[in-house]
Amino acid sequence: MILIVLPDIPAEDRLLAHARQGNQDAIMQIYESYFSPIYNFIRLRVDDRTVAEDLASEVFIKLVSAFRSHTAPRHSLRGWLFRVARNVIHDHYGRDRQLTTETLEEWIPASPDNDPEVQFMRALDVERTRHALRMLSAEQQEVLILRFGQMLSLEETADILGKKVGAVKSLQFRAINALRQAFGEMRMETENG
Amino acid sequence: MADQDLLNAFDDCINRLSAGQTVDDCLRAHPQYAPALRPMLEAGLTIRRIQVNPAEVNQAQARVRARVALAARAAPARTTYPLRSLAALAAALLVVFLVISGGAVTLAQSSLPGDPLYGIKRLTESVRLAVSGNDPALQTEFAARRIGEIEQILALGRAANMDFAGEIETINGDAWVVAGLPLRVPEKSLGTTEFRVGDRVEINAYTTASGALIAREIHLTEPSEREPLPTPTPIPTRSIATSTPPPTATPAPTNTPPSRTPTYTSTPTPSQTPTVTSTPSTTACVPFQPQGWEAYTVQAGDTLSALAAIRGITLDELMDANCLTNPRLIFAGQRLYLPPGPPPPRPPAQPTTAAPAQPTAPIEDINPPPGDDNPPPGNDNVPGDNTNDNHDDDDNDNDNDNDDDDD
Repeated sequence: MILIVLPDIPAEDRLLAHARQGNQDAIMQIYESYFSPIYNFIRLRVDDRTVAEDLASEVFIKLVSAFRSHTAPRHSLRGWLFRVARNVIHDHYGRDRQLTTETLEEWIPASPDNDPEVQFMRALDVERTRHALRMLSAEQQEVLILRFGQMLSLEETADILGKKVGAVKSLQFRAINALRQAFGEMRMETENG
Repeated sequence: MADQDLLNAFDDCINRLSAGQTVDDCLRAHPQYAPALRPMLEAGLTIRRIQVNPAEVNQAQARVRARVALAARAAPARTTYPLRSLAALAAALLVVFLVISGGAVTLAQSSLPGDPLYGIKRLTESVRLAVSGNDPALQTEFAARRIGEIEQILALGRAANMDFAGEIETINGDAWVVAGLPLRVPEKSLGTTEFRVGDRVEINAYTTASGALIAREIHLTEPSEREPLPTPTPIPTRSIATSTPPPTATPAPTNTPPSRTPTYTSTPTPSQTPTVTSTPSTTACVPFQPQGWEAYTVQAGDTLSALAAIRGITLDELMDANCLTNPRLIFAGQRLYLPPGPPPPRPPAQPTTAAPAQPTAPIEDINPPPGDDNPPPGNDNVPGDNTNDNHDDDDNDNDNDNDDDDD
C-alpha cells in the first residue's frame, strides 16, 4: 500500500508532459512510480496473481498507447491510472464471470525470521480484513481502498469512481459501516461455529 | 442535520489520517462524534495494513516492465496500423487489385500476423527460400523478421498466433526470455524435453491484448553444448529483462529488414530506458549501488528524509543514488539503496485487534498458509462479484448502531 503520496501535482504534471512528448524515460519513470500502488489496488480485488499481473500490465500498456495516440491525460495521472485499473478489473469480470478461487499459498507470509506467533497473528489479522472486505460491494471496496489504503482525496476518488463528491461522502460512510458489520459477522461465526 | 454532520466529520477524519494525524487527533476535533467515529476509523485503518507481499510486487513489476518498455520503445513512426473494420471492404478490393498487379507483395512486407496481407508475406518468403536453395543468410533474416513482428504485435497489444525461433536467454520459472522477448512458458507447453539457457528453440506462441507472449509449444532445434554455427557476427544482446545475458555467442542475422529499426538492433536511441537495459545511458539517471551500501525495502511509515537522517546522508545523496525526483513520493515495498545503519524507527502499530506492536518488522503481512485456522467466512466465493453488491447498500445508511464491534 502507498505510504506517502502527497499529491505533488507539479512534479507529476512535469513527468506527464515529458511522457506525452514521447520521452521513454519519463514513461518508464511513471511505470516505476505507479506500478506498486496500481498492482496493489488490483491484487486486493483479484485473487489470481497471474491475472492481477496481466491486468496491471494492461493498465500501463493502455497508458503507453494513450501517449502514442495523444489521448493521454494532461492532469491527474493517478486518477487516470486508477480509473483504468478499475475498468480493466470490471472488464475482466465481465467477460469471465467465473471468479477465481482463493489461493492463499500465493500470499506468502513475509519476513519468516520474525516470531512465528506474531507473524501468524498478523497474517490472521490481514486475512480477516481481506475476508471482511470481500463481503462488501465492489464500490464499497473501492472507496475504502482508495480513501484509506491509497489515501486519495475525496475529489480524486469521486473522479475515479465517476461520482459526485457528495455521493462519495455517503458511500464511504456506508462502506465503513458495512465493513464493521462484516467484521462483526465474522466474529460471531467464529464464536458460534 | 446530524447525519450529514457525522458524514462530514468522518470525511474530515479520513483526510486527517491521510495527512499523518492520529485517530485521537481527529476525535479531539470532533468530540461530540468521538464514540461513533473511533470504531469506524479503526476499521478503516485495518485496510491500510493489508498489503500484497512486496516480493510478489517486485516480481510482477520486473516481469511487466519488459512488456511496458517494449511498448514504450516501439517508435510511433514505424508502426503499421492494422486495417480497421470500416476499411475492410475497401482493403479486400485493394488486395484483389494488388494481387493481380503484383503490388501486394511489396505492400505485404510490412504486414503483421493477423493482417490481411500477412499470408502473402509468408508465402513470398517461402518462395524466396526455395529459390535460393534454403540460403542460411535468408533464413536468419526471416527469423529476425519474426522477432520484429512479435515486438510490434506486443507493442500494439494485439492478440495473434505466431512462430519464431531463437536462443533461450534466461529461464526463471515460467518466465523466460527467448531471442530478447519475454515469454511466459506454461508447464503444458514444455513436453518432456528439458530446456537450458543457451538452447536454440522453435516456439509456437500467442500474444494477449495485455502484451504478454505465451508459449504454446517449444521444440529444441539445437542444444546449448553444440558449437555455434560459423556465422561471425554475434547478436547484440538486447537485455529487455533484468536478466543476465547468456555467455554463448549466438549466430545472428547480419542484415536487418528495414521495417523494424529501433528495437531490434542495438542502435542507441537518444532516450534509452535506463530502468530496463543494463547499459548506462548518457542522458538518464540510472540507480547505482554505491560501495558498501545495501538494498533496503521501504516499509510503511518510512519517509525519505527520515531514512537519510538515520543513515547519515543528505536527502539529495539518497535521491541521487536512487534516481528519485520527488522527495515525498515513495511506496512500501519499493527498493532503495542506503548506507548500512540502524533500521528506521517505526510508528506504533495501529490500535486494533490482534495488531501486534512490531517495531522493526515490515507491515508486509500476508495471509497464513491455507489451513483450518481461519474463521470460516461463509462466502468465500463472492470476492468482488457484482452479484453480491447490494446486500448492504442504500437502505441501512447512517444507522450507526453497532459501535460495540471489533475491539
